[in-house]
Amino acid sequence: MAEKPSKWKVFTAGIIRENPVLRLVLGCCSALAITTTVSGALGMGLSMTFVLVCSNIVISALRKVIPAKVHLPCYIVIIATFVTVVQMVLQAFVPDLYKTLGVYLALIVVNCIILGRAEMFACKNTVLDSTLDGLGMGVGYILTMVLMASIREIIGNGTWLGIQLIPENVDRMTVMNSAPGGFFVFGCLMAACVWVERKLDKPIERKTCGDVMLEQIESAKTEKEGGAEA
Amino acid sequence: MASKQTPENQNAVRELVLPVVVLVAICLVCSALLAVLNDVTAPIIAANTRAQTLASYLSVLPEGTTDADMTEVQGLATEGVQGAVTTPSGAAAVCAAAAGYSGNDITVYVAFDAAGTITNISVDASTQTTGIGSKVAEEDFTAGFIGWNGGAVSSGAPVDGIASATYSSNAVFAAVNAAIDCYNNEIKGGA
Repeated sequence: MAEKPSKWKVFTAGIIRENPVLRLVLGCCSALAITTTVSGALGMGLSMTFVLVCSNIVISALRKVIPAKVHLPCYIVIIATFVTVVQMVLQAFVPDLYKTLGVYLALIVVNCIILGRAEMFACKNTVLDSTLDGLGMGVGYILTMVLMASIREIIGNGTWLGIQLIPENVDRMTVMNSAPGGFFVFGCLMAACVWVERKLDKPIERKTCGDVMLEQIESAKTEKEGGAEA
Repeated sequence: MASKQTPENQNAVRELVLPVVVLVAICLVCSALLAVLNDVTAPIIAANTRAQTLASYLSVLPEGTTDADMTEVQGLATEGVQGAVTTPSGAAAVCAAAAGYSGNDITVYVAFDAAGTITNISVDASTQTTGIGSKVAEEDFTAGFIGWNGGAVSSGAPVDGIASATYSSNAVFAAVNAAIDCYNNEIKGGA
């Protein structure tokens, strides 16, 4: 039987080793769309982390109550509730950020990171582990978003968090403010991540869809056998 | 005759009823939570929206106008008009919207002096494509409307529409026309 990872390992997994955006390639839509400014990226990252942690806690706490047949509808309802909470709070207390995030705030409901962690981690682990996993993934997401947004805002606008860094008379690379610039920075960061991985000689475990399916079949078999014995 | 609960019946209940009960229970709890939160945030959101609208009116009205000077005009019927205010000096500001590119609304705030001449205009084109449709909010375009008192506007009178942003330009013309109609028929005419 595989050894249970330590709490620290669970928390740090999402930061670099299993970074949701650069390694698992999840949540790319918001990562590409919202990273034109650092303030927007920070707001989106914090909102996403709040929803991820809260939904992980609730899903983990209810993992023995929710029947397998209605896993997904229940997850969607729980996640949508927390997203609506964030929407209402932001609209009431930080209306400027609410306007900046626009439609992407509502799209957190279908963010692959949240659904992915609910299905892959929260529904199989304790509340504490799920909280740490949510926090780690959230921190990884925020760091990636802020890094991407910093590059795009500095090169595209000459500012960082609204502070002027490049003199007005220097031409801006405005392509960084549009989709091609986003894809370019995203590709460069992914390549940098692979380079670091090779440099450290600690490659992450890569799984194909087939591997994941086989794992799920095995775990379903084990669950069934356990149930039959009980 | 009492019916016996067979293991098959129990299984069927577990398979069919339990998922429905759990899902309904989760939905009810979530709805209750959101209802409570809505009660708390709705008045704050309404106050924010009102403050933002008043600030937009003030941004187009002559300098020195304050919140206390503005009187909201009630019961406006002109299509596309969302609201209007008047001031004791005879100036008025009208908020109107029209569908631009992709059907998303462009909102304009148009200020008129006592003679019905457009004195200022502000365009919110945040819903339009950045760098293309968003150009209708730039001063190069909006400044062309200032001083206009010749009835309905269209491309070329008083300002040309922006090339490659036809939908957005037409939406601004439609919204300004709604504001002019409202001013002539309901504010000036109604006064």
